[in-house]
Amino acid sequence: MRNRHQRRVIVGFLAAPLILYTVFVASPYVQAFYIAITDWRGLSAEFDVIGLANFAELFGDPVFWKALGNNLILLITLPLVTIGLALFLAFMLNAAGGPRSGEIRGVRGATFYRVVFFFPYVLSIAIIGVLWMNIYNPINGLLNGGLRAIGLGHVQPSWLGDERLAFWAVLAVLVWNGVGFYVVLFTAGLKAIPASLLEAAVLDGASRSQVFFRITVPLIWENIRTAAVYLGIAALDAFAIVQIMTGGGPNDSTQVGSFYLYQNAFSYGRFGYASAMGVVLFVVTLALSAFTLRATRRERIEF
Amino acid sequence: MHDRPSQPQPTRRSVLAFLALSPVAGALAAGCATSGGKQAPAASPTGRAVAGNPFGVAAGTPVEVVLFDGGYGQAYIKLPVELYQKKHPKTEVKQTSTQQIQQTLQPRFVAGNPPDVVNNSGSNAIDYGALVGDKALLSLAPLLDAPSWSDPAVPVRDTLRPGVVEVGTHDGQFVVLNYSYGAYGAWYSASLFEEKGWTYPQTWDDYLGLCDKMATAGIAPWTYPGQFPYYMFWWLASMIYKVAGKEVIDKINNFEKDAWTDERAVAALKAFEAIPTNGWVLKGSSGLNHTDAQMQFLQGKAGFVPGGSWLEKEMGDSVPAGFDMSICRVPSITDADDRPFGALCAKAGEPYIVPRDAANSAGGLEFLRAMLSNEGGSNFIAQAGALSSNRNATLPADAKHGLVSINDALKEAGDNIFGLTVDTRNSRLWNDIAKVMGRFMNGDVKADQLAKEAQRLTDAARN
Repeated sequence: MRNRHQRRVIVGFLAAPLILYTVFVASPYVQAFYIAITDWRGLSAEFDVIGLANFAELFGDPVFWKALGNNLILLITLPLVTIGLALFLAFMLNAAGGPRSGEIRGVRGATFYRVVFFFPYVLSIAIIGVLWMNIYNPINGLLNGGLRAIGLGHVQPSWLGDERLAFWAVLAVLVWNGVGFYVVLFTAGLKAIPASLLEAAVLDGASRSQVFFRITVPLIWENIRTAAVYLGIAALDAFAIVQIMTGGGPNDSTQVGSFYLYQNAFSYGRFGYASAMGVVLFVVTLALSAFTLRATRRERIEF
Repeated sequence: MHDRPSQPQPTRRSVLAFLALSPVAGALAAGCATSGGKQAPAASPTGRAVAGNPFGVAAGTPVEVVLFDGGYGQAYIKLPVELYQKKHPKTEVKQTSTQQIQQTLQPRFVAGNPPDVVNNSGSNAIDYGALVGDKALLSLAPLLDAPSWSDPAVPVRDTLRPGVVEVGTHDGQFVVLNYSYGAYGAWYSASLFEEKGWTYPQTWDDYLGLCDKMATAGIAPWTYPGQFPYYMFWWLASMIYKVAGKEVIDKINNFEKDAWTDERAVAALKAFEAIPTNGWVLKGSSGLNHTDAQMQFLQGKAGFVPGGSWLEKEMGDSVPAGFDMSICRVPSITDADDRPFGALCAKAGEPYIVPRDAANSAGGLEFLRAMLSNEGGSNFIAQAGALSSNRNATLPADAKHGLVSINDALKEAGDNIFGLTVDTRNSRLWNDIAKVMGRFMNGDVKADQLAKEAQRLTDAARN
């Protein structure tokens, strides 16, 4: 009797989210798989099933490969740079201060820096895009203005207009945007490390870098792993910044999968082709995430 | 599809769960957008066609008009609404506007209840290839043959400027009415020329000489919006038209063989190649957007900027007083140019369509007829600051310098006018060729490579 009542409650609670999830998340995915084998242009309910032709075209589409390649470079560089920088900053803010009265503490002004680093994360991505577009403006921008001010008037790169620079300029913005959040995340992890462990290490004569690599990093490994997964997702997406700042240009040098998909669907009216792209990206994402979770699995350290 | 940042990373387990769900989801999907066949279009409630009411608009049937909320503003639509309501009293004209035409209206096209008139314009317009491919548009041929609003003795067709019908024709059917009319190419400042004692060059050699003088005077001859390289399309095509004529432009528009690689087309591109080769493009242009580039031009840092009729209005108060913006005409490039000096890229723009499935398509046609009245056209020129595709519409007394210069240039050009339709016929090809033009402006690509690559893209689009 009680058992049945319990079940009813469970079903009652689960039904609503499950139905919402099915209708708004799962069903569009399934639909995308179907649309991917059609030539749907997105306007009428009429279309033909064309089998795997979209996929065949996709594999011969150099822009798609370029976009996917950019995503992969982002996938490696974005987590690496962001986590590296965030770890460094978090360590400086929490554990790198001078050994005054034997207490582990951050550098002077740590609270202030923490707010400053977190600030970009509070801004909307659209504002960040517009802000950096102006900073990168080759003629009136802050960056080239700074170069002129320090006497480098002859070095005036066209940051977002140069095929060799644009991608890295976009990457820098993504890092700038994200790093503050991960500083806070790692700070939380660092705070959870018992001070006695660190002090013991220092007493045993460990240098700062030894403390960092031997004590700190292993003890906040779970946080780093979480950060890597989140940054991986951001790297496979990167849609908003690319759309606002470069539109994939110049000459597709900042093209990413999500934006190319969007262009095909909404600018070129090729929903079938775009869906095929979505399916391929889905598979790639799935494979990569499975790989990431497996590759970063480690023994959990209890403390 | 994969652009939601908050989307949880799927794991092996969640995928299995997801696959287990799919039959349910599939059944649900069947009820969604991609299901079912096409419903038959609802019959338009029409009355009898009589004199003064050529499409047989039924009294009291509302008309829905969706305007693009762009550079031309919305004020100009008020007069046609009034005209319509005066002729058809007690009829509601529901007029809304949006910048997101595609996002707002696409679901309504799919559902079979689109508005009666759509101003399908802007960067979020619905792709014309898709609209035509899906036969979603009503033929506007009856509009051409209907008596014009202002003079019933003259059919609407004869009130239109050259090329309006051609540009609006897709797959042999006139389906898009472009309401504005503009010239494209590049701009210069007549007052700057006067101040420096320069005259507008008649030949390409003089043009290059002028660029040299500009560079010496510390003014970069050209700038362009590197973030939107398609701005170069119209000027480069104008040069091709000047040398090679209509035949080659038609080939370009129709995705034919030997269009860009026609030797006269290559000669025109080669002539322009001197600009990037001599370093006569403002440094940093490749990283500018259109307003940045236009500001450089208005501040006198660059002599020429690509663009069209809209530029003067777009820059508004940023145009310095007495700047005297004027449209460029292509100088004579070879001794045997196909077209005379003054040939111009001009085209009707600001597209209006009547969806095939519109509930009141007769009302839609009638509304377009009201828009094309002489009052409607002159009102558009005054309100929107652009010419109208009605050739009888008049300029207001306080028309700006750029607008007057276009009007004069159109008169001078006469029939030596061409338009490009690559953008509306295949927006992807347009973008892809524009990317190469961007590289051409950077100096990364030479004229013959540009021609070859543009031809390769064109060939691929044809097949």
